[in-house]
Amino acid sequence: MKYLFWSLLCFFTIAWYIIVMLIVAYRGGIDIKHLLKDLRNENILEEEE
Amino acid sequence: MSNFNWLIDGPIVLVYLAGTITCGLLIRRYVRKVDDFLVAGRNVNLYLGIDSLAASEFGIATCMGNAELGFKYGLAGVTPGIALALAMFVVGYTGFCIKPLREQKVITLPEFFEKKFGKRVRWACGLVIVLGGLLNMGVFLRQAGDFLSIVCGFDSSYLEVVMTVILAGIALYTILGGMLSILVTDYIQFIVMSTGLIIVILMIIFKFGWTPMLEAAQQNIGPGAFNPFVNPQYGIDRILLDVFLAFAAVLTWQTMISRVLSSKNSRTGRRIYMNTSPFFLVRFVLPAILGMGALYYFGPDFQGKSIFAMPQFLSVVIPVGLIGILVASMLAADMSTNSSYMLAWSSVIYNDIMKPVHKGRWSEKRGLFWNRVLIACIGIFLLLYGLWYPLKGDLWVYLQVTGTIYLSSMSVILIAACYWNKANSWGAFAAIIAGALIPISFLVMQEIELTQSLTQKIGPYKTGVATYLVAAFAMIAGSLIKNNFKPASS
Repeated sequence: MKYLFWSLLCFFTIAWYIIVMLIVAYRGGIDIKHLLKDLRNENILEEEE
Repeated sequence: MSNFNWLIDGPIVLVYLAGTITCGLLIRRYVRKVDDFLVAGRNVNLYLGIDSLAASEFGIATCMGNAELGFKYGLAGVTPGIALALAMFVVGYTGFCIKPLREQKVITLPEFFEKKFGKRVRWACGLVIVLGGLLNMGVFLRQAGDFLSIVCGFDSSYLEVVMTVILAGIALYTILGGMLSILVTDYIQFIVMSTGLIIVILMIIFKFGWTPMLEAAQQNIGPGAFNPFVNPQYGIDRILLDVFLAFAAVLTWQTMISRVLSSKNSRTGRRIYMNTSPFFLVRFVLPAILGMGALYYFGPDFQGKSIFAMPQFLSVVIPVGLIGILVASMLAADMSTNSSYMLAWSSVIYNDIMKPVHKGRWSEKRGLFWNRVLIACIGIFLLLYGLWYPLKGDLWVYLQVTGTIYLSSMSVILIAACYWNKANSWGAFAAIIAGALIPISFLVMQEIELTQSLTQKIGPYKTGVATYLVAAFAMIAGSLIKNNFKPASS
């Protein structure tokens, strides 16, 4: 195929993007939950101190 | 004539805007300290770091600039993306500079430099970073306004109103929630942006065919469409600048390293870099495909500026319903970029330039207030600069030249601070002056009629490459001279 390198590069890029979007959509939500929970706990601790 | 339908596409965009801004505003109650506001309390984990970094580094300006590269140079226009992806992976894998940087628990680069070179270098670095960063970001809003005007079919007289409305929405949640709001909205924006982009790209490929688009590029641009080395408008100097810029940006661009500095630890920071590196290919490949689609559709005789080819192409080929998703996704991309950039530059102004004023003694409440005022001021600057500055040449070249104002000197200073014991403040000052003077002179000379032909002759690429080399030379020479004059202090 004439444009093999670029076709593979573009295919890899799009495929990576789709997979990562799905993973990040799931795991990113969990990260946000933990982040807000940690901050809430830190704020409670500081208020108690 | 645009396919955008206000009754069908309008509500899609409104629902997205209302949802994001509401989420951004709800997060503000978690912000208690300046650290929460600027680096989210350093609690950022891997996946949140990835989506936030990816979303903030892909805005409408990037998309338009990179689509213009695809339209003019074909897939050879992806070269900066390849350089960036490789640079990010290498830096993430080795921890080069970013590991010592994260371990110092600083908020900004200049804060790190103070430990090695003193307070004055910190202040000077802050100034150069803000100058380069704001000039770079100055064109974002206008590009967004142009894109939305074309895709939604507004009259160009509404451009200022569109720009102001976009900015007001972004500024509102950034001012109130800082990095925390940005992280949460970046998450939503990453998903909306990615979904919209993927659907549009697949639709374009299936509609026009992958091989016909590549053949159209070959026919209109020649073999240079697939090989930057043989492209007469690309060439070795431009490729070299792409590589320098890629490494410098990955090491020192405040919006990129702020994700490393906000991460839980240096290992997480490195993993964020390694895992996000392919996104920097996405950032160029996807817009380049859109640009090549525009070239296939309009041909080389496109009437109008090459930067408008992609939005005009999308406005006529994307059907009703899908165009609403596209506009929402591009708004998502732009909002996440602008909010991150506004926070990044305000954090440098507060943390480094204003340091002699507050000396780190202001209360958390006062610190938060001033950070919010700074973001509002940056918003006003963006509005005025976006309306005033007439963009000349490629958008990506403008971004490279303005970025070089600080990337050249900061990357040199960072490497020296981490790995060269003989580096000192004289070297740092010399690098800052050399690194800022050359690109600023180029931008000014480009505007003066008398010197325009000279700037065209030298070109932005040779200027950019020279800036990095001169900044490195200045760092070495300045440091060695000081060591010779004042050996005791070194």
